[in-house]
Amino acid sequence: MGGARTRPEPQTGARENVIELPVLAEGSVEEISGRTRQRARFRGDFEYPGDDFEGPNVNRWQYLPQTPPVEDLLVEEVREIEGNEREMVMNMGPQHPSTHGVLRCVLGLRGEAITRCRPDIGYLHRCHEKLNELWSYQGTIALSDRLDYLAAMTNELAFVLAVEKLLEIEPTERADYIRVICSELQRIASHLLFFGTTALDLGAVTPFLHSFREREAVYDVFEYISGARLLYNYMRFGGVRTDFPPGTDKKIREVLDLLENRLPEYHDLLSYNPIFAVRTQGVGVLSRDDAIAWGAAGPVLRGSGVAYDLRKADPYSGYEKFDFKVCVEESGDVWARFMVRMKEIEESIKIIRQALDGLPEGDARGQVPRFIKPPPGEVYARVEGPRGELGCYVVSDGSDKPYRCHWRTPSFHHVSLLEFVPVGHLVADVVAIIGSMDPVFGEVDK
Amino acid sequence: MEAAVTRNRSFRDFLIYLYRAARAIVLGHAVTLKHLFRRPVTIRYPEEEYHATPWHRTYPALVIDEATRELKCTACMSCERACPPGIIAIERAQGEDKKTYPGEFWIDMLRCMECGICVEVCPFDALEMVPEYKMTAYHPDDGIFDKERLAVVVRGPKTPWPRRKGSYLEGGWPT
Repeated sequence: MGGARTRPEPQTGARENVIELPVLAEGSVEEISGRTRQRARFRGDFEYPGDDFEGPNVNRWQYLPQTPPVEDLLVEEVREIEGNEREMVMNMGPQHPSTHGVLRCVLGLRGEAITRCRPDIGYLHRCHEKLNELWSYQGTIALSDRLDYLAAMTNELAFVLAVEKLLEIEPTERADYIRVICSELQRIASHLLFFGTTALDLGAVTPFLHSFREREAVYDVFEYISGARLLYNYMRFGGVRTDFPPGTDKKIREVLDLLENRLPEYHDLLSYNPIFAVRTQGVGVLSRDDAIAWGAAGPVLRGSGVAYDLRKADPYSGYEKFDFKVCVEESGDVWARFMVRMKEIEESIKIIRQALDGLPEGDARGQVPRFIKPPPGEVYARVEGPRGELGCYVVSDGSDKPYRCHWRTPSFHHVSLLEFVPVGHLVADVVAIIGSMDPVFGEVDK
Repeated sequence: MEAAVTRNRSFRDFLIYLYRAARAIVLGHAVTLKHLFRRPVTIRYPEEEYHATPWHRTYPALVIDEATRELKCTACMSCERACPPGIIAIERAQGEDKKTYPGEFWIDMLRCMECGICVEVCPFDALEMVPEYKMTAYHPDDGIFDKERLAVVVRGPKTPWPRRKGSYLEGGWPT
């Protein structure tokens, strides 16, 4: 501090677009820094632009966590382990190749057996939900692709369904069928990637190449439909961006035939391989009650013997018209979660065939204006993504941007399961367990 | 905890397991051997090239009208307002016939998310997404495309994105 650095006088008219910094009530900005400054903001010492906003009656800061941050907890725990002679600390990640992105697991080890596991997340945080508040509804569709980048279609679908509820509009019938086809193709692509990467984590390199080859075929279809291979920006309020180009039907059926031919090969290569079975059966058992209590969803929940699928339990986009099974496995281990996904590929193929056969004629785009201002209100819409229940909670204040947009992402809940599922296993089994949860860190960290 | 770590097996079980594993390895290799007689799926880039779908979205380009040899853009600023990351910058200019045109038109391709919203909102069809995916550069400054770099003549089938006037099927489809 000291008087050397004084605040320069604002020169009015010299520069435009100067953003005024928040000014402290007493003292000056230089006195405090970092975390202190952040706390002061929450106490209300700062006058911050937007604080006087009279929106819905929500006090933004009242639910702020009072517990110390995760980093401090981890440090304390590490000290505790280091004080114990027979325990050892090992950091797995965030640059570990088989943690599916940037997951850091702090493992407590006794010999090679795991005594505790603390997942540490947040390395890929990019203020996704804040960006939702800053971008228009149209841009938010494009942004929602970036949540779970391996299942962009279902992310878009969740957001679009939520806003359609707000606007009280129904999509056209053809659009519903197209959405079903796209989300099932997306499920196939995502599960194929799961098949490859899980095998790769366990040391089998060949299945990875096989599954990526077929996944590229699915992405070729997506490129033909929407013009992009990974991040589609295809769903629209009241319909989809464009109708299927001519010849899409034939292309999709070719891919489905290809997959039906190749799936037995996959099972020969990996699924019924006894080496793979020894690595996965009885490993990472998640009981039925734990799965329900910890909010697991999708294949993780169904692998524990709970026949809960949103496509049956709360049908959206006309899923009630299609005939398919809910795939369930009872054993709750890594093998069960693997087999649920492999069976789901077959069910998805069935659904797509039914949808292609019954694809109605008509308008696929809907007659909704491009710029929308939904009425004030709050809605929650959910879809069954490849990883589980993907929910989108949108609060509108009547403007052209969402006032608040919260995402219930399944991977986040599945990463929290890692606290107790690997305990008692070996370090090599943690890799299998993380792989079987299939987390995508775009949607864990948001 | 200990039960999961130690696995009690008899020697006979071990032999059975060994037999099954050997059998599975042979089966796996049979699948791999099949691929000797299949066509390769890889593309030997750069000798061979991947031909993307004509309506593949890579970057928004400014369309040159073939009849007048001028940009179709009238600098109405619709795309600048609609662009979600806000990376389009236009300087409007006025000609002698009082028609507006873009004096400068920049797109920061380093931050472009390739959503195609600018193409959708353009009321004059003056922007098109081009399927050119080779956009490497030696310097970050080359990633900011100016008017000259963005201008293209769109020939052949048009992209299928929805247009203001009429159906997007008007332009005809590639077969």
